[in-house]
Amino acid sequence: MGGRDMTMDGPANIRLQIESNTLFLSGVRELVYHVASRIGFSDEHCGQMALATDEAICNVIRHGYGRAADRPIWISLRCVGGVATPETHGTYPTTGLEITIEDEARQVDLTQIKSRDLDEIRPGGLGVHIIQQVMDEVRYEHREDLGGKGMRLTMVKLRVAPAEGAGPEQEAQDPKADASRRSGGGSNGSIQNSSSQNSSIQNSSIQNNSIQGSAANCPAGDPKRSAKEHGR
Amino acid sequence: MSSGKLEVASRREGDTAILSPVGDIDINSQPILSAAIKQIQTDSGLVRLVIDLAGVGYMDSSGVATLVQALQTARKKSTKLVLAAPQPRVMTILQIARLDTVFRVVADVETAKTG
Repeated sequence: MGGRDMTMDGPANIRLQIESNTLFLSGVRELVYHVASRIGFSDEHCGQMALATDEAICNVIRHGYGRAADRPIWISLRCVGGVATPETHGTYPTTGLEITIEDEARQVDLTQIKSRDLDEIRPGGLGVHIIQQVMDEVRYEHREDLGGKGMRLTMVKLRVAPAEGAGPEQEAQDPKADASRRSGGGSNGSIQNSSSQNSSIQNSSIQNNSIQGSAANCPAGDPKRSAKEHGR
Repeated sequence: MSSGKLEVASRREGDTAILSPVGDIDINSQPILSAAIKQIQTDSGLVRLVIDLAGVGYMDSSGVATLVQALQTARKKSTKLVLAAPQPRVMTILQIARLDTVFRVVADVETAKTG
């Protein structure tokens, strides 16, 4: 009844099950942050992946489980490209980190998962937008192993390695990341200029290949209203 | 990253109230900040609320929502809301949400008190 031991493209390096209690969020953030750091991501990108994971789990708790604190959530981390072993310590073969969040909640219409209009200044509904902004790939799916229940979110962050590809991520050497840092936004492997009216983050928007404009998890706006609207 | 705990100190200097949250602001801790803001925004004679973010190392969209709610209340009451000294990671999420120009954001509390 649980989540899979495999991610979409291979076995997970780390697999964690938590209850849907917001108390555990900080621990999951720490895990993602420190694992990402050890496989060579920059501090900025580690923070972005921790944030995206936080937002994704929040959405499951709020909208998937209606804030129930005792439902299962699975978090899987897969180091794309492999990881160093004791024999290869000091090398950084990882080219990306795939983070998968799975639940047993009611399935939602995937076309309804989208970000809200940011020009409207109001609380809530930002989680999906944030995830899309800081991750390079975002994909929502219905789980097929639970008899019509369960959602799966797969997020990938690509590692920006130095030219020789042998060291930890060094954003200062990467012009895209450098531009993004100046703008305060995320840096991504597939950055396109945003149509944002706010010039300060124009370099941080993602063109997400796998989900295009429709990706975004939760219902924008008031969580209770949106959850009802989306049948979760 | 920190332990995830959040504590909020408050003080009043004339017509300015200063809230100083220290820790992570996420869905779990956000009610603590929200309650502190709501309480202080009911104070009589309040002209300006400064939220000193120097001690906040992490904030997610729950924290952003709390700040937006505070801004809406401030506008209704015709008072000022100023965010002071956000760390880069916190500033980034405000920028991602395209709220960095909606809020008045300044480098330090002293500047905020004059704004």
